[in-house]
Amino acid sequence: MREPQLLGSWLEAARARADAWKKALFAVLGALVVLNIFITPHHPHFVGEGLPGFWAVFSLGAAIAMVYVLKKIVYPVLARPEDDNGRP
Amino acid sequence: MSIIELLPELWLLGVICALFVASLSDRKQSVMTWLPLAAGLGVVAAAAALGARGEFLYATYKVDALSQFFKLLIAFGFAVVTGIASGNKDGKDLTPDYFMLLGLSAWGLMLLASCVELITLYLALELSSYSLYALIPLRGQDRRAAEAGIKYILFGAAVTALALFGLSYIIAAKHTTYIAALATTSWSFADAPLAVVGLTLFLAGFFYKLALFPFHFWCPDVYQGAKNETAAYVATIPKLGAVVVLVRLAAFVTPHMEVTTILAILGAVSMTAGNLAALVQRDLKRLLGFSSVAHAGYVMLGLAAGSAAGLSAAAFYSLAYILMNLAAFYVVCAIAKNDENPSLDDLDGLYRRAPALAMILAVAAFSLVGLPPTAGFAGKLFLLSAAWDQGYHWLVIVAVLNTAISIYYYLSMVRHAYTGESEAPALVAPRGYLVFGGVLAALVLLLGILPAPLYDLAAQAAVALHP
Amino acid sequence: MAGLDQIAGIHFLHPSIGFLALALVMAFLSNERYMTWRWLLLAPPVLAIFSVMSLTFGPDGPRELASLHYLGQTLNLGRVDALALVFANVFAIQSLIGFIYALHVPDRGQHMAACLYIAGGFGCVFAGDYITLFIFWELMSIGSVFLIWLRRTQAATAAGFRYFLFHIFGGLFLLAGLLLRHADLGTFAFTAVSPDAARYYDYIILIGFLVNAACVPLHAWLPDAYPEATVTGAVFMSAFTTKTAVYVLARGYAGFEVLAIGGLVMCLYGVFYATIENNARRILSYHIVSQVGYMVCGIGIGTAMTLDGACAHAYAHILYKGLLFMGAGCLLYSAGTAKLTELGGLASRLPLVMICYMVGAVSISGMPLFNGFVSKTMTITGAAEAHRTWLALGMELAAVGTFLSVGIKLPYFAFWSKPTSTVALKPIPWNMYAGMIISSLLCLGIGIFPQTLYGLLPFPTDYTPYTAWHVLQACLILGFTGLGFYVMRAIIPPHASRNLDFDILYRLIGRGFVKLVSVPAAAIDNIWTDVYEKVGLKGLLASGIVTSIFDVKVIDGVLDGSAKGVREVGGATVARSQTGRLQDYLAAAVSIGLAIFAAVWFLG
Repeated sequence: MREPQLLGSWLEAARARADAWKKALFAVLGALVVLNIFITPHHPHFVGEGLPGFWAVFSLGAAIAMVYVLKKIVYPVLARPEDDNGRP
Repeated sequence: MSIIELLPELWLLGVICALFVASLSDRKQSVMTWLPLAAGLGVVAAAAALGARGEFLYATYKVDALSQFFKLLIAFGFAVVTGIASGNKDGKDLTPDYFMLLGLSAWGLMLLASCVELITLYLALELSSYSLYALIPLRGQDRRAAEAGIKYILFGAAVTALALFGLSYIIAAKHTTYIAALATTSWSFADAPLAVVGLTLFLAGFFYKLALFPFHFWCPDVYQGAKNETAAYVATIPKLGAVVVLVRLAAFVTPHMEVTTILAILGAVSMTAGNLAALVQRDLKRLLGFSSVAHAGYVMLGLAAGSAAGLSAAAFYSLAYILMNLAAFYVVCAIAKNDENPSLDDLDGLYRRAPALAMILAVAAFSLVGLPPTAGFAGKLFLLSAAWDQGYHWLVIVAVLNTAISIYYYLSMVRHAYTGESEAPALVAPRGYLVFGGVLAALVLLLGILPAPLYDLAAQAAVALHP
Repeated sequence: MAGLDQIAGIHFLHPSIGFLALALVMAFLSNERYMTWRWLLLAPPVLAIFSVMSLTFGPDGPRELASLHYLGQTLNLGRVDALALVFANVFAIQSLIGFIYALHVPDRGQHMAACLYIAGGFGCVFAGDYITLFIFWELMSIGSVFLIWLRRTQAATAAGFRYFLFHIFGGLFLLAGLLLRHADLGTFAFTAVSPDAARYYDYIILIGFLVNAACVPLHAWLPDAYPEATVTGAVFMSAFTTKTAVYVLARGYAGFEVLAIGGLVMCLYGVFYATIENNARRILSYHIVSQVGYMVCGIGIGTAMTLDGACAHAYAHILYKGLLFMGAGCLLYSAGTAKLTELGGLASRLPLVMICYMVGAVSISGMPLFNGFVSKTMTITGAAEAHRTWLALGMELAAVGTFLSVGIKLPYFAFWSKPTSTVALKPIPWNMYAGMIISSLLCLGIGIFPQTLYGLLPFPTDYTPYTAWHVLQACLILGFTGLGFYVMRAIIPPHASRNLDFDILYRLIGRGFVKLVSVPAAAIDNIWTDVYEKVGLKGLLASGIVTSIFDVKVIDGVLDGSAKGVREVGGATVARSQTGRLQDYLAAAVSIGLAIFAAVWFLG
């Protein structure tokens, strides 16, 4: 089955305007943080959850930390050649 | 009185009438086109009537579980014999009257199965015997067949005269001939000596039919002299009649009485004499004749035990016996050339000349010995356990020793068939005939592996007699 | 069979029957005529859906609908209640989607394996006693190992072999545990074990279950074998093995603290490994470990809400994980590789695949409007409500990682990251698209109408996922994880390599065991062979000669001699009594008869 050409070319075009998409993303993220000031959990499950921006910071920090630790520290320890099947 | 109660007898009577009409006509058309089928339908009729119950003719003729079981076996045996006869392409004497006499004999045996009064019993016995008297000499112009016929008639006449004499003693002593009434009276020698003597003599008539020692002397000569198909019939079906009567009569004796002791001793001697004599035989039918003497002895195990288990074991063993014996005679008839008697040497090289026949012979031989998983083993197992449970330990030991002796001659048939060398050409038999033989062998094995359904039938019958 | 009329009765048609029957029928069909008979493949799933629907809308409450007598036990094949039905429901739907996706494969071996596998899954879900469970558990192992082996590559054969060994190992634990349990309790009934009353055999069974659930450290078979499975087989396998394990854990081991901790470890471990992996299907396999971790954790916490959350998560997970594997499978089928380093720049050439994949990706990440949102948030909220704050936080962390690796990294490097690629792409058959689109629609549908899922859950719940806070929180997490990806985009690209996992430990143990046994055993064997040759064998030969002489001369002599004696003396003598003369016969009969009768009457 052939993929729809229209969709494919639309995606090509969208890719060409990647910068515009990036700007849109930042705008949305900013709006979310602003919303967080107004919408907070009714029953914070722990101290800190009620603070505006908590989850934003949590996820950004976690993502960065995860990638850094895993890729820079853990990965070199664990990596082996692709066709290695564990024989010494 | 509905038709289903008498269905097996009526069907067979119908077949006999059709054969009679066919025998009257001049046309030389063979009855083999329709006879095996009609006989097969007779088996179906007998199976349909298995549950029928009733009493007729002033309660002398009783349709109960035992009689229906044996009528089924008789119908089956008759059908198989006609099937075996159908394989004989150049049977000049396989005329309609031959089969009519065969059918009449079977019919008499069916009546015998249902008789519960001694005089009717005797009449039915004679009916079946007379047909056989006429049948045995029918073998072309063969003088040996005539000789066999004379022996059978005279021996039979003498023994049935003895039986009638014994019957008269029973009437004198007990004033009744109904088996049901006789069952309630005492049968110990101390209480009723005349009756016991009479009963023993009366039983002699049936021992003769069963070929039990010492009333067996006709057996090997008649088998050898008669036509192969006749021998196949005589070897199997009349014994069913004898067994059913003995089962009825044995129901009212208890173990370790004089009568049962006689049964036990006769059985033991019969086994031994039959097996020993068979060891030196070379003619196949004579060998099978002596072997049937031995098997009559085995059946006595169950009858001497006298309990419900013993009687059902005897009934079951008679079924197993006719199956395996018919399978053996099937092979005998198949390998016989020009209606001659085959000998052990004629079996040489059979596995190459006709592998199917060799296999059927092997199955029949193993079953006659009593090796698992054949019907003979199942039957012997039931007989031996019934006899042991009733305290006949010595009899069981004799039976086991005899089984060991019999291995020699049964397996020597197999030995000739499988290891003997022969220059004779391959034996060609029509495929339908081989399938028929294969079915017989398969039934022997099946009955050995799954004896339960038929044994239950036999047990039902025995329990009705001997609760 | 006693229970057969119950199984085939109008009230309960065990879904396994259809699949087993199809597997049997396929044995007689040929691959050459595949195009004609392939529509048969859709019959058992449709029947299964009907059967499960009829049960769901039937009477409430647990029922035992089918039993069978086997080996002296009564096997309970049809224990039906809400917990079993929610799993059976999604199994039935996924089996249909999976077979639609696999319609183009003209290999009846694969389809038979899939049928057996699915039949095993249904059997486990409806099993009311441990023996039935074990039988279907092993059936699943067998079916699934063929789904790996039938890929017919070198790596697949080796991986399948390891998979099979490991699953048999797990199955043995299950068998040992259930037999010990029976010896102690006298029953095989499969019921919940109370955490306080758990005995050693309950833990042994638990280990068996955890192997199938891919709990760390028993998980290494999953990322080892699933990437090597067939394109269509992996779709089936992603659904059934692990979710059956989740079902049995939910049934038997709800509330066990060790599961809560183990589940969290699985969540994080899977996500961490997925972040550094290169093979797309291996990333997804690690994610199975991670998502199943959510379910196991929820079962371990054991409250009604977390159990509901675990079931809802299992339901949603089967759908979106199947969709993800279908997408990755399309990539593998079309471009010939699943390695991210070799893919890229395919978005405009495979836009439909990309969209369907993204639906799955955002579902797994928990974006509002998709089914992951309605299930994952239930589990996490349940954990938090049960005051297991660290567990909740850990699960949120795993959610971050999930979106990072499956939601952004995998599609980015598969579909974008490079200029539009010009590699040759095999055209993808229509049925693969059909399967993906159906799955996507279901993911979207359940996301928009969560009540369809919540209605199936075993415990009544009034949880509402679409509150302003929940939606905002989810968007915050997703958005800022995306930002994190953008920030770290230089470090994150995958490299072509294979990462060490626990399987190295298994291999070390295995090798050590073999060495331990072989070295001393070999030494003993050498000494023994010497002794055997010099002493034993010669002595045996000598005694053999002696016994053979004894046998021939003595035993055979006696036997043959006696046989000859009986034959010549006994047989011939007796046979001579048949003189052939009638008068002799009659005389003999009468005289012998009278003699015997007289003897018995007078002496007896």
